[in-house]
Amino acid sequence: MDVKNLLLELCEDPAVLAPDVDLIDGGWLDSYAFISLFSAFADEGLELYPTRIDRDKLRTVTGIEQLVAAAQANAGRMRV
Amino acid sequence: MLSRIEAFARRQPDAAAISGKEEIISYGALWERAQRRADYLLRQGTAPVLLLDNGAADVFVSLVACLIAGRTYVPVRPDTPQQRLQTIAALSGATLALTDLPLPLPGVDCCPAAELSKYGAFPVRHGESSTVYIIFTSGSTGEPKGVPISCGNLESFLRWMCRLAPLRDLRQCRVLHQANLSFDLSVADVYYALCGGHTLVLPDPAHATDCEEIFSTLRAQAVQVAVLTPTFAQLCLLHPAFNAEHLPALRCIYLCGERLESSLAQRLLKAFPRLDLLNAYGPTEATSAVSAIRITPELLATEPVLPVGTTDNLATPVRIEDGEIVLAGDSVFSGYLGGVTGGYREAHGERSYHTGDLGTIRDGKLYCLGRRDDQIKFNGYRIEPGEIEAQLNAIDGVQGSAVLARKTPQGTVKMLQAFVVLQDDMTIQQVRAALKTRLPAYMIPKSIRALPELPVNENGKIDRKVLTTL
Repeated sequence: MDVKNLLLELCEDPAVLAPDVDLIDGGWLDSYAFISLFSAFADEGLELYPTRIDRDKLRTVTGIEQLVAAAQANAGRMRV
Repeated sequence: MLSRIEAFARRQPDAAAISGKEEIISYGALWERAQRRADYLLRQGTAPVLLLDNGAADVFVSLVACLIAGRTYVPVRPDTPQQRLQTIAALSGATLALTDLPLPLPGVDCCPAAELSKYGAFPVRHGESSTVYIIFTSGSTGEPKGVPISCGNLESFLRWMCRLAPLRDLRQCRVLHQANLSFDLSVADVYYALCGGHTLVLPDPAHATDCEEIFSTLRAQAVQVAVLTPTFAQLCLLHPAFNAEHLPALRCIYLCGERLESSLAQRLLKAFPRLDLLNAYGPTEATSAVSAIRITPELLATEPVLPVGTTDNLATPVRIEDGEIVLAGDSVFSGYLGGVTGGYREAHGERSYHTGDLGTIRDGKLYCLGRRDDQIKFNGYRIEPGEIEAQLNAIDGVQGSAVLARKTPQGTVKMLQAFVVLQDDMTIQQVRAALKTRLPAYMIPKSIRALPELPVNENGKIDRKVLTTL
């Protein structure tokens, strides 16, 4: 899953990819983007639920990429 | 309306009227505290009162106090930018703000509401005001528009809402209050609950938009009726336990404020197979909602675009004129504050509101098919791009702007995007910061992009089609 492309699709602004951008305080991760992001996770079969994630990990692109990588690794272990 | 609240205060004084995180207020206590507060309001004047809704249970004591005292209340969010608050205070003529926060508003006294319940006479005489509340909506001219709603409007709405199945059959049920009072979706849950002897359940205000908080509130308080926007219902569905197994008490979800997509309705009915799912429709100008329809699996199977009501149960007369939904009758307001025309008409003794919504009536069902102008609905909020453009253009260093709604292929607005032409020394960050002091958070475009100039079409107007391709 390409998190950067997904965020670009949701926010339509390359500014969202800057490493120091706070996606929550900056207003990028609003209700629509939040719902779309987690719906995309579900579509990919990733067990990521907003209620079980530290919100601070959603603040940066890097943080979201790490969450996805961990969920993918977990999904891989489950399959094995 | 008020007599019903008073009757419940006498008939069931110990029943919970408001159930908040920090405080539960019974009908008896609500009435007594509101009467004492109304005593102060009656002595203080007759002008409208700014009511800051911070999500606490005490706010509803103030609301009922305003009803008793006959003082029009003007609900505002605590995070409303100062400049907008000043505009709202000036347009409404408010002279008092019930708030614990110091608000530097010229000509407006600020008073911590909780203090007012300790003193004052009980009972008090009732005051009279034709206007119960004023809600401000986005205005295309750059300023918010004040919509005064009268007691008669509200009675008309309530009569209709209390006829809806299954709401008409519920007794002493628990109703979720999720939306801020400044958003007229809340009119449905507040007045249905308080005028029906039900309990209004408040989530923790610090987390009122968090699906975990809503889930735990629904579960812990065994909520039976939830009034939500479709977007918020979608947010709730992100919770893995948002279903009938974990929320067996939830019997009815009343959705209003924006278009309901079939896919969302299907997901809700899958999660709650026995749910009464109501899809309601109506503008602020006609008191929250004028129509609703129960969405069933049978309806979903036959209707690609979901209807928003049936002609045999309307709050107020609805007709279609040149493809536009036009409302008349008792639920319709009597015009905007300050004489702004908008869609309000008076002709041949009839008040009507031309909604700007495209619609049709087919087989006894009302359908809303989009807008005939630029107005958009985003996350349930009604927004005029023109208001955002006017505020952008008023910022020093912004030479021109255009605001667009970016939509999904299904037509749902996914974000606001602004294009600006800036003077050399101005940055996007500065524009965003300046805009935050002028507009509420939900009106700030997610994306703001600078262009050397705005594209224009052959008529010399901004070419929005070109902007959508950038």
